[in-house]
Amino acid sequence: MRFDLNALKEYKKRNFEDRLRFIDSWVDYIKSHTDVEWSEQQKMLINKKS
Amino acid sequence: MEFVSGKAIKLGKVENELDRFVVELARILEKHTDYAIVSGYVAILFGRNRASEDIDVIVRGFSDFGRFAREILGNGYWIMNHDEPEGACRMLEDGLAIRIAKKGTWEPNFEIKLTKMDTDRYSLENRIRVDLESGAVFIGPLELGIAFKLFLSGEKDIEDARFLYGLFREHLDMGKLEYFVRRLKVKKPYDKYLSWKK
Repeated sequence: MRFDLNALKEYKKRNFEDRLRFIDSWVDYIKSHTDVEWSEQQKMLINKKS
Repeated sequence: MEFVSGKAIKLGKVENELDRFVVELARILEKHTDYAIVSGYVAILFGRNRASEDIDVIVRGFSDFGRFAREILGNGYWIMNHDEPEGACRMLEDGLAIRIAKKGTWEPNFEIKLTKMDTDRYSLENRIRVDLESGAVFIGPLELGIAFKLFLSGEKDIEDARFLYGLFREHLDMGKLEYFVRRLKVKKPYDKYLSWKK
């Protein structure tokens, strides 16, 4: 099996940049909605994991 | 969420299981010492969508650690890394962290350590009270927390810093933040990941 390390590094970089963009959007959502609205969604995610 | 003052935030969130764990244990802890929660849970408290197995907590010291340990054990928790309260107390005094979780579980857990560095003392002296529906928790100051996340520099840490900065940038003391950025020598990641949003 061959591993294209340059392609994998590029994938990792883009994935991180994409997550940062998602965080920015989520911050905008939190700021423009009530605490109850965003936290109901967070609760579903965290309670599922814990 | 509402900034009641520079030292208090009112948060009307629907609490999740992790929040409940933190509020319940913090309620016991505050009877025995001053504390400040730092690092990852601070971002989660304010809405970051990720889990965390440990809650990092800095404490000033216990006047009677045995009494604290008895209350913890009597309320269904266990000290994970030592069987005896005396041993756990020695660990703290030696600069190590003790971990406390609900009996029979490993996570989530409180990772408690005594103040050691100036940054720890600053966090305690400048802690912020966050009022939730079921109780209050104290967190370290946001400016230091954000800069320290950049210092840790893992992807998860940079994401936490970006989240907190984005959420609170209108309320942050930029002079303080930039002071911590200089002292922790994180100007490069600060410019790259945060300050472009100014």
